[in-house]
This record gives sequence, C-alpha cells and structure tokens, in this order.
Amino acid sequence: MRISTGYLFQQNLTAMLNQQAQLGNTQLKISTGKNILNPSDNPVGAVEILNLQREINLSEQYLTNADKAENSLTLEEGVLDSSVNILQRIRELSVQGLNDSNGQSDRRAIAQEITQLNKQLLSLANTQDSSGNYLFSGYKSETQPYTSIGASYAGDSGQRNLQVGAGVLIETNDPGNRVFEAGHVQTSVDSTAATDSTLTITQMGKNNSIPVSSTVDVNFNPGTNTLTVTMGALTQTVSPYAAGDEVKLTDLNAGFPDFTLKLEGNLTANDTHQLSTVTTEQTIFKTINEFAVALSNNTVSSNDSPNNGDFLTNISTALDTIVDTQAKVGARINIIDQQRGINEGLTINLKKTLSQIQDLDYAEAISTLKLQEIGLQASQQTFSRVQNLSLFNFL
Amino acid sequence: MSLLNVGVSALLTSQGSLATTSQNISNVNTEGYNRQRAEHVTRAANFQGAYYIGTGVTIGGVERIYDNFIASQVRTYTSQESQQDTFLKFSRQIDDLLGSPQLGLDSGLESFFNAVHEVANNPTSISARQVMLTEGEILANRFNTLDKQLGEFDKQVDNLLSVSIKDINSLSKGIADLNAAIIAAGASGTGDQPNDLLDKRDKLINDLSKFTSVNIIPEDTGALTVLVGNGQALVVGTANIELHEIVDSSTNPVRVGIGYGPAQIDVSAQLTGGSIGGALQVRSDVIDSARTELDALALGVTTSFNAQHRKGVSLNGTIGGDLFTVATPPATTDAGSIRLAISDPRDLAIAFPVGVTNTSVTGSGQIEIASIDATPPLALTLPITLTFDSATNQYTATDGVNPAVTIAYDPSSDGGKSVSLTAPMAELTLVLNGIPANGDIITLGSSSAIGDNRNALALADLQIAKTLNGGTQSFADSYGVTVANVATRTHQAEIGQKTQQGLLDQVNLRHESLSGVNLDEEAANLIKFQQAYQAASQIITVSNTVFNALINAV
Repeated sequence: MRISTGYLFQQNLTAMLNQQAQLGNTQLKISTGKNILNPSDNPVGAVEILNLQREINLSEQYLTNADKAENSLTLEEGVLDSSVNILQRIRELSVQGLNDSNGQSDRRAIAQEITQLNKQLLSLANTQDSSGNYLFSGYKSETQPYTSIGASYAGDSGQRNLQVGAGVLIETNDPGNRVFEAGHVQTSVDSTAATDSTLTITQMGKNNSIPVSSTVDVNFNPGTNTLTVTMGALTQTVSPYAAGDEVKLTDLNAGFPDFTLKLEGNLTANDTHQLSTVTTEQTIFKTINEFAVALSNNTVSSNDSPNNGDFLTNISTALDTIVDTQAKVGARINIIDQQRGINEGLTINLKKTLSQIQDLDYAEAISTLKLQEIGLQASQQTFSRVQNLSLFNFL
Repeated sequence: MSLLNVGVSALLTSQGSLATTSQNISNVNTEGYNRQRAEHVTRAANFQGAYYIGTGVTIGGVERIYDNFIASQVRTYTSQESQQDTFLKFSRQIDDLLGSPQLGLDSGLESFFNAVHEVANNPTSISARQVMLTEGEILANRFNTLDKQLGEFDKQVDNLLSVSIKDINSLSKGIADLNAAIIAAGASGTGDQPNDLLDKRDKLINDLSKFTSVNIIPEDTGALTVLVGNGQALVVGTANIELHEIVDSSTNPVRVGIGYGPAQIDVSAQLTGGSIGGALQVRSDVIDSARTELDALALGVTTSFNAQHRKGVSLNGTIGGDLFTVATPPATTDAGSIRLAISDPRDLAIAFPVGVTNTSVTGSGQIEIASIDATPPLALTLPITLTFDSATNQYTATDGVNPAVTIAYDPSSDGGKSVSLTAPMAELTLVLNGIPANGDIITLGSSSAIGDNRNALALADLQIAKTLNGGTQSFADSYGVTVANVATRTHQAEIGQKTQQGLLDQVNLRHESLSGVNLDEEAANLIKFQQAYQAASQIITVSNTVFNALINAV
C-alpha cells in the first residue's frame, strides 16, 4: 500500500507523543505513589477509596472518642477507689466508736477524724476534670454537685455518652445522686402504747430493716409471762420472759430482721411496742455527719434518735452503691478496650485495602517506566532513520 | 514534419507531467492538498488514406486523486472524534475538581463530622464548638466553591459556543465563495476541474465538521449544499445562512444558545457531533447533573442538620436555630448559596431541652430520653410526670394539659424497653430501665445543662444516617455517587475518544494513501518524466538530423 510522506511523518510523530504522554503519566504515578490519579482512571476504585477513607476516618474518630471516654472513666475510677477507702476507714472508726468501752472524749476524737474523712469524701464527690467540669453533676458540668455536707444534690441525672464504635455508646460519667446517695434506713421504736416497760434494741445486725409498710410488734403479757413478737403473719413467742432478757429475733425465726431486743421495767402491764424502719434516700455525707455528731455527743445508743444503730447498715449500703458503680465503670472500660481492639483491627484492614487500591505497585510501575522509556527511545531512533530515507538522496 | 511535431508534443507532455510532479512535491506539506496526476492521451492520428499515423501525445487533463466516499468518512469521524474530545476536555476537569482532596466534599464532610464528635466529647469546651463552626464554614465554602467552579465550566461552554458560531459563519461564507468560484470555473467552458479550489472547499468543509456534523449534497453546477443539524442548510449554492448567538432563558442563569438564520430559531438541540455537540452533551450530562446532585446534597445537609439542631438547646438556654441556610430561589436550591447560619459558638444547640429528674423515688427505676421526635419548632409542654404503679405495672404520664398516657412496664422483664410518647403530649422516645417502687415519680422537665451532649451525638449520627435519596444514601454516599457518575462518564469519554481517534486515523490513512503525496513516488516520477523528456529531445535531434540529411542531400 502506498503511504503519503506527510502522513508517515505525522503518524510517527503522534506515536512518539503518545509514548511521551504515557511515560509522563507513569512518572507522575511514581512521584505521587498513587495508582489512581483521577477518579476517571478507575471510577469503581475511586468511589471505593472515598468509602474506605470515610470508614477509616470514622474508625479513627471512634478511637479518639474511646481515649476521651477512657480518660473520663479512669479518673472516675480513681475517685471511686479513694471513696471506697475512705468509707472503709469511716466504717472501721465507727465500729471502734460504737464500742461501749469508749468514753465520751474518745468518741469525740473518733468523731473528729470521721468528720475530717467526710470532708475528704465530699471533696472527692466534687472532683473536677482538667477542664474544670464536675465529674459527678450529670449534665450540669459547671454546677458543684454538693456545696456542703448537708446540701442536697445540685446536679442532674444526665449521663454523657460517647460513641466509641458503630452504634456503641458508652456512659462516661455517673451522676452523684447515683453514687453518693443510698437508701438510708432509720429504725424507730414507738412505745406510746406501753405504760411501764421500755424496749431497747441492744444490737442491730446487718440485715436490720423492717420491710416497707410493715412493723415489728413486741407485746408482753404479764398474765402468761409471754413475750410475743409479730411481723405481719409471722409470730413467735418467748415464755417465760423475765425483764432484761435479751432476745435475738433471728434466733426465733430467720424471717425476722436481725435485732436483739430487751424489755425492761416493772412488766406488770400488757404493753406493746412497735418497731418500724423508714428508708429514705440521703446523701452519704449527711448520714456520716449525723453519726459523727451523735458520736461526738455520745448519743449513739439504739434508742437515741436518730437511731445510730442503723449506721453500719447505712454505710454498708453506701459502700455497696459505690462498689456497684466501680464495677459498672470497670465494665465500661472493658467495653472501650474491646471496641478499641475492634476499631484498631478495622483501621488496619481498611488501610490495607485502601493501599491495595490506591497505592502504586512500584516494582510494576518502574518496570513499566523502563519499558516505556525503551519504547520512546526506539521510536525516536526509528523516526530519524525513517525520515532520512528518501529517493531524493540518490538523485 | 510530423516527427518534429510528435517530438514537441512529447516534450510538452513530459514538461506538464514534470510540472504536476513538482506541484505534488511542493505541496507535500499543504493541508488539504490532494495529489494530482497529468493524464497522457494520444493525439488524434492522421489518416493517410490507408492507415493512421500517430501525431504524438498530449495532456488529457490534470486529475485530482480523490474519493468522495472516503472524504465523507473523514468528515464523519472528524466530527465524532471532535465531539468526544471536547466532552473529555470538560469532563476531565470536572473529574479532577470533584476528586480533589482540597476541594472535594468528602474530606469536608469528614472534617466537619470529626468536629461534631469533638464537641460531643467536650460539650463544655468553647474551643471545640468554635472548631465545629469553622469546619461548618469550610464545608459550606466547599459547596460554594464546587458550585462556582461548575458554573465556570458552564460559562466556558458558553464561550466555546459563541466562538464556534463565529468560526462556523466564516467557514460557511468561505464555502459559499468557493462554490461561486467553482461554478465560474466550470462555466468558463474548459470543462476541467479547478482542483485547487476543490481542495480548498473540501478543507473548509472538513474544518466545519470539527464544529458539528455536516451533510453534503452535490449540485449539478459543481456547488455543494452543506447541511447541519437535522437539515438546516448552512450553504446553498453561492449563499450562506448565518448562525447567531442567542439567549437561552430556559435556565437560571441564562446561557448561550444557537439561533439559525435571520429568524434565529433555536437549533441548539439539533446540532450534534463536533465540538458543539460535545460541549452541549457535557453540559447536560455532566455539568448540569453534577450541579443538580450537589444542590440536592446541599439541601439534604441543610435540612437534616437544621432539623436536628432545632431540637437542641444552646448554651444560652434557647432552643437551637438553623445551623445552615441555603437560598431557595423559585423551585431550585443552590449549593452556591449554602452558608453557616451561626457565628457564636454558644448558639450551637448541643444539649437536649428535656432532662430527667427523680422527684420522689425509692426504687431503682430509670428513664432516659433516647430521642426527641417532634418536628421543630419544638413545642414541648413540660414538665411531664411519670408515676409508677406497681399493682398494674405501669407508668402514668401526665403533663397537666393533655390526657394522661399509661405506659406498661413490667420491671421483671421490660428492662431496656423503648417507648414513644406521641402528640399531643411531647413527642419523645424514652428508654425504661430498673425496678421502680410503687408511687415513684420521675419528671421530664426542661433542661439546658452545659455538659449535655445528647444533641451533638444525634448530629454526629447524621454522618452515617441514610437521609438522602429516599433513605438509601448518607451524605458521603450521595457525594460518592456524584463522583462516580462523573468519573464513569469521563472514563467512557476517554475510551470513546480513543476509539474515534483510531477510526479517524484509519480513515485518514486510507484517504492519505489514496490522495496524499509520497515523495519517493514523486522522485521516481521525476526520473520517469525526465527520461521521457530526454527521449523526446532525442526525437527532436533525430528529426533535425533527418532534416539535415535531407537538406545536405539536395
């Protein structure tokens, strides 16, 4: 086939320019390290890159959130640990203080120590984080949850969640009223129906609360010399009963609360005493303070009002509440660690996939570059040779 | 003296061929030139009574080596290649724009949502809120910039159209003039083709086909009628009909359309192929659709963020306002107009306006507000008190205005139960937990606590929420679709352009192999005709010798 000289020239030139363009493109890929320079190079890959980058970004954000959440919870955990230590010390001191071998001055000294510890506990409840936000005031981060020993909770019940994984929200705080407030039991004796006897609670065990809307009735019948203890449908008798005998109710029936009672006086009338327990939510500080005041005043017997025989129960309940919270915080930190593991693994996998799509295979690219270089050189050489071929050279 | 005459005719004919060959050689690089060939024919023989004696040779005509069919194929493929090429030039730029990490919306959305997460992490931090506002502004800017850039491409299409119209008019004028010249040449009666005029006209028609696809109808006079679009004549005989730049007001803002003839009838939709066809196609298939999708995304972002933001409460205790504004001129939203509506970080509504307080509680029952379902503007009648009755295992919710609502809750089995309060009572979704005691009262009251991050979490959820396209796409999904659409169209155009380029190369090769000048061939022809010339000279010499011999003999 005949070919026109101009076209031959043009064709050779175009081929050379195309090779140059390809070489340039490969060179650009090598210098950027990217396999896809424009979305149109690989539309499917480009969209996948967008998706992967978003997933990675989200995953990394979850990791940041997890760090933040764990910081908050670790701080809270520390505060709770200290609170438990203080409460245990207060408990030890109160057991010591309740011991009848103590005189008033000893009790006053112990009460002073307890008051000091209570102040420490209060300041723990008012802990602020590095940004000055109160840990235990719910959403009201700038409101001091407990302004004084006797003050009631000033925060709200908000629990701030942080997102540490897809669909995983972690509570990063506990409102103070669910940490430093607990059911406070107060047992009282109603002797209005008695004429000549007095009822004393000599000892209160740990399980000492009388169920809500129930009472323990203690009746003495001088005719039969019988002491009858009734709680709802439960009735037990002690006969014969002599004034001053101590009766441990749980020995009579395990269904009774753990009280040890004694009836004193003439015991000539048919007297009935009514025991009841009132449970109220109260701050632990107030509970401790009431006890410390009573201890200081040496008014800690069971018949005193408030009945500080209940104190050990109340402090146990408070301890349980804080330990419960500690367990919750620990569980949350575990979840965060798990989620962190998941997100870290996910991020690594996503980045690997991203790299497979987006990043250049250098070995391949460099060999391609070499090949294109040779191709370009070859066409440059042949171009000049072919262009030199002309019959006119021989005329 | 016939011998001398024959010799002279051979000399002249060879001279003519040498001249044609030289013409070919000298025009080797002339665009649109078709090689020519002098046709040798024998002259009429002399009848000598019983026989004929030849009288030599003459040039029957100088022929243009040219094939009409191949030429029309060249025009067709020129026009198709030019269309793909123009499409690709625009489409590539848009592809670059949408995929750019500095300008693309994907990274803008990511940074903004990261900032929202940081606010959720630190609701009390003014600096975190400020970062969220800044990122929101950057996001809005990205929308604006993309819209502006796409608008620029639209203007470039306008420019291309108006320049093309001028070029087409000058080309059609040129063709009409050449038609006239060719008719005149034909009318001069020589009967031969004015090859160079034909070459020029073919070149102009070829140039015209770069702008739009053309149809050619040859006339008996030698003129060509040139048609564009679906039959609009650009050149008829010696007259050309002009195209005009007209205003196409079917869009806002208006753009350039193409008017035909004195009546300026809009033929934009009829013109296919060539750079005009490519530009119009890229405008409708890529620019317009990308802008429409971007507008929809801008509207989606604005609507979703505003709806959620207005459910929150700001640091100042006021119900949240709009987070973004977007102008909504009649029937269209414009991504170019999206702006951040808030400038004070304290106005960011990060908290929920409803909080829970345990008014009188002895049990461990808890209620949390999972979401605010009411459509803003919020009209919450608060407080709502929920009183638990352990006999019937239900909460009774009252707000003192609307009829009481009972919510069944069995503490032994319903922990974690999700319940929605509906209108006319405040529309809220509650999550119930724990074991409430009989008579426990939990109050849902108004709240504007500084450390409340619930609305920030709800805003952050919009990142993965499928809010667009009938609940099937998140914001980033939607943008991904836009990028994919443009990338796919660009990729297609790349392949299309390569295909058309290949076809054009092939048909050009065929055209060139027929009509192009080959210097080696011309060199050979040069030798051939030089030798013929030399031989013819010998005829003259012989004739002279014969004549001398005759004279000397006398």
